[in-house]
Amino acid sequence: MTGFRDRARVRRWMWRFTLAMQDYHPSREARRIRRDLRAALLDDAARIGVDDALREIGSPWRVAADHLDALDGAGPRWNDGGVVAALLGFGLPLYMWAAWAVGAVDAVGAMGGGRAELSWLGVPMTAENSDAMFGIQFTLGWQPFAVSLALGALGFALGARIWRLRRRAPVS
Amino acid sequence: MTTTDDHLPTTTAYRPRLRERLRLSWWMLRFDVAMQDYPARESRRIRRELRAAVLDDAGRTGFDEALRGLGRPRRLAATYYADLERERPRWADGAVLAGLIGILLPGYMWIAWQMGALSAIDAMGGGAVDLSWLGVPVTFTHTDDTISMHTTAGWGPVALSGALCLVAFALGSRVWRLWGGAA
Repeated sequence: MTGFRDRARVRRWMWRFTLAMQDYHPSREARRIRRDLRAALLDDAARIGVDDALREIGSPWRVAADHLDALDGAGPRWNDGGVVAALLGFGLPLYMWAAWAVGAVDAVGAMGGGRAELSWLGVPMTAENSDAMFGIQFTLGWQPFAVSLALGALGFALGARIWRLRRRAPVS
Repeated sequence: MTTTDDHLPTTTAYRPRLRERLRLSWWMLRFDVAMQDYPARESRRIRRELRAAVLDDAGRTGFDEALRGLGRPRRLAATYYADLERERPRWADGAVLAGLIGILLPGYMWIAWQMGALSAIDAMGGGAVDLSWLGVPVTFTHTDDTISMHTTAGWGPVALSGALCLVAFALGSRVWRLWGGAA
C-alpha cells in the first residue's frame, strides 16, 4: 500500500472513526484504540489491499459503536461543541453583520450616496457609498464580543452535551 | 395472556404512567432518528418489538430498569446496522440540512439585509427607496409614521434557495450511498 490514494482512504477512515469516538473516555484509552486500529488497518492493507481491508473492518461508526458499548456512559463531545460554538458564536453574527452592512450601503447608494451614521449592537458604524469610498467604517466595541461569547458558550455547551460530565460513571 | 397496544404477546400487562409513556416516546424518537437509514418496514418491526419488550420487562423489573436495560438508542441502532450489507442514505439528515442551508440561511440574510437598509434610510432622513435583492426589486419606506417593505416574488431568491436546498440535501443525506458498494 504505497499509493497516495490508498493512504488518503485510510486517513479518511481514521478521521471518521475519530469523530465517531468523541464520546469515548478516557481520551487516552481512545487514542490507544485508534493507534491499534490504524496499525491493524495498515497491516491488513499491506497484505490484502486497501479495498478489502476497509471492507473487512466495516463502517467507522459501527466500530466506534462497538467500543462505546463497553462504556457505562458516554462522555461529552468536545469537538462537536467546538464546531457548534464557532458556527453559532462566530459564523452567525458575522454573517448577519455582513448582510446588514450590504443592506445599509445599498440603501445609502440608492438615496443618492453619502454617509450614514448607524449603530449595530450598540457599536457606532458609518456606512458610506460615494465616489471616494464604498463600505463600512467602525471602531471595535465590546458588545458584539459579548454577544459572540455568549452565543459561543451556549453553542459549546449544547454541542458538547456538557451535561454528560455530571452523570457519567467513572471507568474502572 | 394479554396483549399490548401493538398486539404482541406479553406475560404481564403493564400500564405505563404518563411520565413513563413520555420517557418511552422520547427514547423511541431518538431510536427512530438513529435508525433513519435502516429499511423502513424492518425498522418498524424492530421498534414494535422493542416497545413490547420494554413494557414486558417493566411489569417484572420496573419501568426505569427496563428502559435502562435497552441502553442508548444510538448504540442499539448501531448493532442493527452491523447486520446490514451496505450503508443507506440518511434522508432525514438531508432534509434538516436542506432546511438550514437552503431556507434558514438565506432567510436570515434577507432579514439582516432589510434591517441594514432600513437603519440607513432612517439615518439618511427617511423616505422611500428602491433597492434590489438577488435581482428582485424591493421598495423600503421609512418615514415618521410608516416603516414598510414591498417586494414581489422573483425567481432569483427561489432559484438560490432551491439550489442550496438540493446541494445540502445531497450532502446531508449522503446520497452517493445509493450507488455505493458494500459498507
